[in-house]
Amino acid sequence: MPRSTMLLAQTARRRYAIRRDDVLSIELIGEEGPGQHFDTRGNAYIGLELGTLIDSSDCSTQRRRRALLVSLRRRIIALLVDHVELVETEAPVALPPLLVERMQHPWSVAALMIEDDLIVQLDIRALARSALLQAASS
Amino acid sequence: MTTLERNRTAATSDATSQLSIQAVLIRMKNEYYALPVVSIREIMRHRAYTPVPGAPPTLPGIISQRGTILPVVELRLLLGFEAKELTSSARYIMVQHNDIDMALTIEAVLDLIELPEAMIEPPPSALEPTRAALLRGIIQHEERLIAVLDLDAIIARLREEAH
Repeated sequence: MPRSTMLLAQTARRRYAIRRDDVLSIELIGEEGPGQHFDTRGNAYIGLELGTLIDSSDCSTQRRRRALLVSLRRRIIALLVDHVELVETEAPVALPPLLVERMQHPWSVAALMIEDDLIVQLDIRALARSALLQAASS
Repeated sequence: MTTLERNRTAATSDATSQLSIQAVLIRMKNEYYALPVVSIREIMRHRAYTPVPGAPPTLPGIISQRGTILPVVELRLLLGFEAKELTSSARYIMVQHNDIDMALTIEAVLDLIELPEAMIEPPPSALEPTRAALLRGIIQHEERLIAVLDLDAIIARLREEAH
């Protein structure tokens, strides 16, 4: 059976799978939390909580955060999570067509089993684009 | 072969199937609904589903059943009810209809019943149109008024809400 290498990102309430190639780099950030940050090369990026972008009740209380940096043309968005690890998994399975037809946002693309848990694979670039639009409009 | 599969086979092969419908009697809020057995694959105890980010409230997540990933349908919301917390009576009814697989969230499954097809009447005009459109009709059965669900209409509603 084909295997995939994925990032497994942990928010306060959920775990999500993310394609490694969609993430520019992973940074460890301190207590600053969401807002403007600089990566190790001095590039400015906007930090936004991944958990609350998806579900307003998914709020982390942790101070040390992992930032998943996603490059969108000239902007870099950092999606902040509690924990992230690289895992080798079975190949993700596409979401059921009925659900795909109905998606309100194109954030979820597939699902996979990890340690007996059904995990959703996110399109982190689509989420970052939504986050950027949300940040620009607020 | 499970009891449900045996019943489904019987329902399709029995000569009387043209005259009656075998259905699962379910309760949603204080109302009774019937779902034809012919499309039901399995009934299982409700368990937490995996929420899918970006999915609509009527299709909020997925479950894995024997390796198959099924969308969870919040039938209560489709019928115009509030989706309050479920009790231990809650079930998933796994349905396969016209190549669509899905898990309907049901508050309680009560019985397996036989409904004479000729006794099914059109939904009353006083019924809310969005709910009436999801029904094949209504029938009086053992002192209960039962609404017979129409899976074609349910799937069409799920699809049309996408656009």
